[in-house]
Parts: sequence; C-alpha cells; structure tokens
Amino acid sequence: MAITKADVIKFLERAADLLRQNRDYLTQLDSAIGDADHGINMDRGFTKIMASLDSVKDKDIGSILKACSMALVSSVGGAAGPLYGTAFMYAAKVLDKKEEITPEELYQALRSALEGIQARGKAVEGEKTMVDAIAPALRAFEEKLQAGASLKEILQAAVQAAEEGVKNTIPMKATKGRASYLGERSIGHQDPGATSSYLLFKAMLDVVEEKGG
Amino acid sequence: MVGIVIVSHSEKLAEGVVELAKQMTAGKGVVIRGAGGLEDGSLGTSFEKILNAINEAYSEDGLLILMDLGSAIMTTQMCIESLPEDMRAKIKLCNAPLVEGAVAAAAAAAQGLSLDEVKKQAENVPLIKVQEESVEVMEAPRGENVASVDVQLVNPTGLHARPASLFVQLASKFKSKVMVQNISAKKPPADAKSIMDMAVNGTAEKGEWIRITAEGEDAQEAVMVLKELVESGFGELEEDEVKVVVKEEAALSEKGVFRGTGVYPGYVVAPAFVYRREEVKVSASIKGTPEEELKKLEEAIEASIKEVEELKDKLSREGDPKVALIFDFHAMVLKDEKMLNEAKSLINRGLSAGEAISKVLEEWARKLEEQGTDLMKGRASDLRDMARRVLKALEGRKTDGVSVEGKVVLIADELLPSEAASLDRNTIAGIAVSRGGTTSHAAILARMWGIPSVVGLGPGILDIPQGTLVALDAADGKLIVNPSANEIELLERKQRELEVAEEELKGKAMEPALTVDGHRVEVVANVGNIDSVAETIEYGAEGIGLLRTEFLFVDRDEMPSEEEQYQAYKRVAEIMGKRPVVIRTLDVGGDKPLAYVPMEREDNPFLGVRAIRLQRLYPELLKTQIKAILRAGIYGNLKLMLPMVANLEEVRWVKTIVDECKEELKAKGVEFASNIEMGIMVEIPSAALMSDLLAKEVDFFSIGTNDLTQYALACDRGNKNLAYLFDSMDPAVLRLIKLTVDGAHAHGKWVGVCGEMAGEKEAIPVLIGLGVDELSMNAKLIPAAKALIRRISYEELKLLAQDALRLGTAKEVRELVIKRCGL
Repeated sequence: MAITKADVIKFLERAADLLRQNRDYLTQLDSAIGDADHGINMDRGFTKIMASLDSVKDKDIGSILKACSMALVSSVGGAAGPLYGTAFMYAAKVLDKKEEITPEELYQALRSALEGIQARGKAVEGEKTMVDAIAPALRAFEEKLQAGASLKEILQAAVQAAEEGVKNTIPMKATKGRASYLGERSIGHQDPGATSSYLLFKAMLDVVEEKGG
Repeated sequence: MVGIVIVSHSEKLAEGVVELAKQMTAGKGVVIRGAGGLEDGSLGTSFEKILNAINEAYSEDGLLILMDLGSAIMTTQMCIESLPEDMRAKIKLCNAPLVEGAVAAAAAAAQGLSLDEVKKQAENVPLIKVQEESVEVMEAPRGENVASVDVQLVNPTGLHARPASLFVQLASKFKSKVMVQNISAKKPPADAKSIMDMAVNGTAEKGEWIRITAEGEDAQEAVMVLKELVESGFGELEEDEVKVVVKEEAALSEKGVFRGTGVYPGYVVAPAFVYRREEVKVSASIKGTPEEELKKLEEAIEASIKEVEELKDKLSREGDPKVALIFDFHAMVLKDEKMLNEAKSLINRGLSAGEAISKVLEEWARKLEEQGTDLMKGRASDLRDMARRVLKALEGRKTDGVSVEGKVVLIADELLPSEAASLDRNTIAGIAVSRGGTTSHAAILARMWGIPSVVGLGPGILDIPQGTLVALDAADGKLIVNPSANEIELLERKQRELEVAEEELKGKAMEPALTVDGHRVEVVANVGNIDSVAETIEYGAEGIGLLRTEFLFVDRDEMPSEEEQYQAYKRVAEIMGKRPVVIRTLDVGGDKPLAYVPMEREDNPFLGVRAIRLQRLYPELLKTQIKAILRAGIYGNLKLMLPMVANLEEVRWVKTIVDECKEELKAKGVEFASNIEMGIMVEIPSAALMSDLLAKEVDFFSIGTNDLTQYALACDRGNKNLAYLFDSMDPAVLRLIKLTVDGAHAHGKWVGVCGEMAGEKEAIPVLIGLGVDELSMNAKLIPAAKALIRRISYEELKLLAQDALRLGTAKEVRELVIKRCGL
C-alpha cells in the first residue's frame, strides 16, 4: 500500500494531537531527570509545524518534511529541537520530490532519520535517549518488512518495539543530554525523549489503522 | 577582527557573558553578540536567534562561537550547516568554558589575532582552581630498610571488609611497620596492622591507588607480598556482590503507618515482636590498680575472642559462611593491638577496664560513622556489639542472642551481629528496623535469608506494643500497625500474586533449553560455595558445571581433611541429586597463598606453580581431594575436573593418582564411586591445540574462557592499559574453542564453557554455533540465557559461527552477533 502525501499530513496532525495530549506527561517525565520542558517544547514544535503546513502542503513529501524540520529547530528550544529537526531533515533528503512512497521508502527515510539523530547527538543505544525507542522500532520494522507483512503489521510491530524500548530506558543510566548530569540518579526514570519518539511511531500507526490497513 | 557569538540557554546569561567579554576589547571594534533563550524569553536555544547573531558578528577574519549546554551545540551546528560554504569555512566552534573562554577570546580578538589563534587562546584559558584542603600524600620514603610501592585496587569490593581483613592479617606477619595511604582519595595514612585504622582511613574503592610503605628489616618483602595480594584481587571468588540500596529518607508516620525502605520484597501479616536489648552497665565503682584492670581487660578480651570463634565455627558448620565472615572481623578487632594500646593508656590514666574498652570502641564506632565509607559505616554496630560482649565477659557472663516464639514480625532499632546470627529464621516472618544503613546486618541477612524486610522506619516503631498485629509491605517499604481487614486482604492477595509470578518465572527456567530447531544445550551453574548450591536449582540450573573448591582451602591454617571435604562434597551431591556436578580440584597459586602449603615467591604467579602444578609438588593435596570426591560420588552424579592442564603427561599422571586413591580406599574397605568421569579445564592454548589427543584420555572438556583469553592474548585482564586486548570474543580465542570442540567431538566427548563468556548474551549464540554442548554460568543468569537459547536457531548459529571465525576482530564478531541475532 502506498503512503500518500495526504497520509503524511495526517500523520503530522495526529502527532501534534498525541503530543498535545501527552504534554504534561512528557514534561513530568522530564522534570524527574531533565529540565522539565520536553512536553511543552514538543507541543510548541508541532504547533508550529501545523501553522507552517499551509504554505507547503501542495509541495512534495520531502519539502513538507523539510519545512517541519525548520519549524522544529526554530521553535522547540531544547535538545529535541535540533535532534528531531535533524531527523526530519535527513528523512526529507531520502523522500525528496516524492509524491507518494512505499513502505520500503518509509523505512529508508526512518533509517536516515535515526542516522541523523545519532550523527547530531552522538548517542548509541543504552544511553537513555530517543535512540533507545527508535532503533528497536526500526529493527522490528525491517524484520516485518522483509517478511512481507502489511504496513499495518509492520507499524504495529514497530510501535510495540518502541514501547518496549521506552520501558527499557527506565533502568538505564543517562550518559547523554541533561539527564547525564544526574548520573546514577537518572536510573529508575523513563526517558522523555524515547517516549516522544514512541508517540511519533504511534501516530504513524494510528493513521494507517484509520485508513484501514 | 574575529567576531564572537555566545550561545546560551538563557538570554540573561548570554547578555552577561557578552558584557564581561566586551570589557576586554577596549573599544577595538570586536563584534560580540549573544544568542540566549527562545524568542519569548524562555529558556532554550533558538535557531533564528543564533543565525541572526552569527550574521551580525561574522567578519571576513572569521567568527568564533562559544556555547553552554548540550542543545546549544546541536542547534548551533544546524545553523552553520544552513550557511553558504564560504562562510562555514570561517566559523569555528569553541570547546572553551563559557565565561573564561569568552573573556580570553575577546582579549585575543582585540589584539587582531587570527581565528585559529583566538580559538586556541580561549580553549587554553587557565581555569580558576579553588584550593581544597587536602591531606598531604606521604612521600615515598627512601633509605635502607624502607620500601614503598603504589598499587591499584582491582577487585570489585575494593579495600573494605574481607579484603581489608586479609590485608591486615598479612601485614601483621611482618616485623616492619607498614602504612597504607589511599593516594587517589588523598586520605590520611593508616596503620596496616590495625583493622580499625584501616577501616576508618585505609579504605579504597576499585580503581583507586594506594601507597604501601614499610620500614624495618623485612620491608622489601612486606611491600612485595602486600602488593601481590592487592593485585591478585584478594582472591575474591568470582561471585556477584549484590548491593542493597537504601534510601536515607526520614521515616514518616501517618495514622499507624511507618515508611522506610524495603530491602527484600514480600508481604507479611503477623504479631509484632519488639526486641529490646538488655542494658549492659559499665562498672566504674569497683576498680583495681591499673595493672589489675589491664589484666581483667586482657582476660575478658581473651574470653570474647573464644566466644566469637566458637560462634564462627558454629555458623560455618550450619552452612552460613557469609555470616561467619562477620565474626572474622570481630576476632580481628579484638586482636587489634592499636585498640588494646589505647585502652591501656586510658586505664593508666585511671579508668576501669570496662570504661576504657567501651570508650575506645565507641570512639572508633563514631569515627566509622562519620568518616567511613558506606560499606564501613555498617561496621559501627559491630564495634558496639563487641563492646557489649567484652563488658559482659568482664562480669563473667556470656552473650546470648534473641529468642522468639511463633511466627512474628521482628521489630528492632538495629540488629547487632550476635543477635542477627542467633535468630531462628523459621520464626521470623518479617523484619522491621528503625535505623537505616546500606550495609546494616539486618539488610544483609534479610536478603540472604529471603525474609521480607524494611529498614529506616524510624524510632516510633519501637513503641508498638508487644504482640500487636502488624502488616509489613516490604515491596512498598511500609509497616502498618493494626491493619484493617481490607489492608490484610490486599497484602495477602499481593503475596499470592508475588508467589505466582515467581513460580512462573522459575517454572520456565526449569524446562530444558532447546533452540527453535530443537537443539538441546545444557545450562548449568558455576558455584563457589556450598551455600549457593541449592538456589542454582531454583534458577533452573540442570547441574553444576563448575564447583570451585577454593572455599574449602583458603583463609585457614591447615589443610581441610579428607573427611571434611567428603562431607562438603556429599552435601552438594545430595542437594543436586541426579544432576551432574563437576568438581574442580584446587586452583590456587602464588597469587592466593595458603598458610599450610609452602609456596615460593614467583615473579609471575600466573605462569608459575598453580593449580595442578602445585598439586604435583604436593600430591597429598590432590590425593586427599580425589579420595573425598570418590567417596562422595556414591551420593550423586559427581565428576572430577583438573584445572590448568598444559599437556598430556599431566593427565596421565593424575590418572595414576586416581588409581592409587582407589586402591587405598579399597584396601581400607571404604565405599566409593568407581566410575567417576574425569575431565580437564581447557584454559591454556596448548591444551586447545592438543585437544584431539587429550580427548582420548578424558571424558569431557570445560573451557575456562577467562584464562584462555588471558593466555592466548598474553594479556593480564586486570591491567587497565590492556583493556582493549582482553575480549573473549577475539577470533583467536574462538578458533581455539573451535579446535577444542572438534577435538572432543571426534572422540565422542562433550565440551562445556565455564568462563564468564558462557553467560554473556552476545557470546552464547557463537558458542552454541561452535558446537559447545554445555554452558556453565552464574545461576542468576540462567533464566535469561535459556530464554535467549529458545529464540535462536542452531542451523543459523552454525553459519554465524563459521562467519565469526573468518572475522578479524572481537568488535566485528560482536557486531555480527548483534545484527544476526537481533540482540
């Protein structure tokens, strides 16, 4: 099943909704180990995306994602700004000039987004960051993709893996980002960045499920 | 002139730093711009603000950017990436500290220096150092009869508790005065012959360096021997130490609910038994001459040492060697000359024996509480416990313990070691302690015995009337007085759920481990003492792949008799039943000296007389052990394993010894198992290379991957400078394992792995792929290892192993496993 430009817009809308609903939750997670602004920042970033969609929604998918990237870096404020900004930027590169994309292309774009995040933030798995949600999600994505599963099945597996990834951040000790200043005390708390990454995967799944497969 | 941009999360901070930096430019026209906070003034970093500042401060001479925290760097990088190529080339990010760096950069820019030079000056800015009051590190002394050496702690516990005791014991054997100083933490020097001085001042953590200094006729030897003790890691048997984390929070009480920190989970509803310690009075009235008082004290200490040693023996016999260790410490303190001397001088100043000893011990206890490390703070209660014991002995009384009837929740301010050791664990359903300490005996015992316990509940709990019904919620750290029917029901339900959940987890671990394509891998446990034998079954061990026998031999003055060893092996055999138990004969050498076996000092104990080589020098050691194993063999499925075998000749020699042992037992008419299997450890590369021939001589191999790696790569795993070399996943090691497996399988013999690698999730797939039949690991790792085995395919692992053998480095092997097995 091809993913259309309209689906991408729906995904952004759904993501904005989810991040708004979870704004306080994310901020609360961040207040335990960071600077208590992740929910507010993400909400502000995606609100800005919504506001900037009008001027680009007729362009190709790559351009839309590029605009998202700019909206995020200029409004988010915390580390999530440049990190998600880079992620959208790298994904945009893969999807340049595309009007619709295959699950395989979506996977390539997400892969590239993860590479961007890792290049920017220098984080690897196990450091209590968004990488801990995204990397396992992409492994699940790839596995299902190769097994010839439907996009819905693929995303279900990815969301489940991301969710597990988020849970797995709880016993981890942060060595990157603001939480790393807490050292051992960061252990026992769920990582807010991993949580927002999971929500973005959830938004993709919601759109596909709503579309009916 | 080079421009400067200051990026900060805070607008005010950026402005302030700009202001400070401008002071340095004396109106020379250096453009300095701040980019702090978001558009709306809140904290964060703004892409647009940074971009504007860059455009304003940029000049053809270049631009230097200083930043504060994480996202400032990332957002700035994104800004720069958005700029045209020619601009980017002239912008540099600077690693300097924000304030000092900005000031130094401004001064350099004002002098018209180049961009690179400005950056260099900013990054090399001297930082203000606040001089902390610190202890002088003692000079390494020079001269005759003086020796000194610096050595790093490599064992997990560091220099505390048992290692500290061993250190003091060994130091005391020399005539020289020996001092130890923790030079990493800059602590004051400690007298290495005084356990108490060592406990307060001489402690060190893993990785820290200590300086050992000796002065006297045997100074050189003392320093060398002590250095080796430290470098050998104090012969710590490779068991995991589980640390109990206790939050030091004030206990809150709300309507009969006390809050503390759970140290072992579980839910209990039972009557309270509040333990109140009998007061021991210090008698000051009837006082003799100082000589008489001193004599009284010495006798009382003598009697106390005897009591403590009896207690220790009793506990060891009852199978609580860890608790027995606590009393080792007691005996050492009682024998501490520094303590006796301090008491002596107090007595000379007119104090009674009782006053003197309680004053000295209380003083030391206080010092431990104030200055000691967490691990040592818990020992303060030991000192108070000892003071009580000596005082009682002064009155001619013995110290007795706590006696309790019926199932109760024991409530106490703390449990002194003597009290804890006397508890009957069958009557204690739960423990509630008012004080909190990360290493309190109550916490340690509770974990060891698996009794639901909460510590740090506050002194209020001591006022609970005897026999009141209480509910202990050790998962949530709560003690509820007179719980309601609802609360009781809730806790009972939770307890049932806990039991069911534990059963389920263990239940799965009980089943054999088969790969998805039905290949069976035996998963067994490594064990270092009798205590932990039974629990291996609960973790799902299908047997014991490595029973280290050192625990029977170390820390004692004479060799364990055949009878003592027989009883120990028999117990293991009976506990394990039909499950196989591989008993490794004594594996010690110059790094773990035994008091009753003369060992020459060797420059290189790991290439010297150790393990089977030591037994060749002293065949009685081996014969006694083999006879004990043969005799115990009739009670279970015991196997004999030889450590450090280097060649065929050694194996043949042991076989003649086994035959001799059998003859001797037969002659005496003693029953024994005649068909016990014999195997060898493959841990020396020569054994791996000769495995096809060795396999004809023995029944099985067990690969000790830690030593095999160490010997194959000629790399001491404790040497931090060689950490890059030591990896058991090195293809060289894997090739040796492959040779060993092929050699064994060609003769129908099985191969196990009992090094740390066997329990490592990245290593397990490779080992199975190489054909290893049995994995032996720390019991706690078994459930996870079995779960891993159940989701991988043997056919794929064989291919994986083939590919791994062709790779060049350990890192590549690990990456391959992670990728293929989706770890």
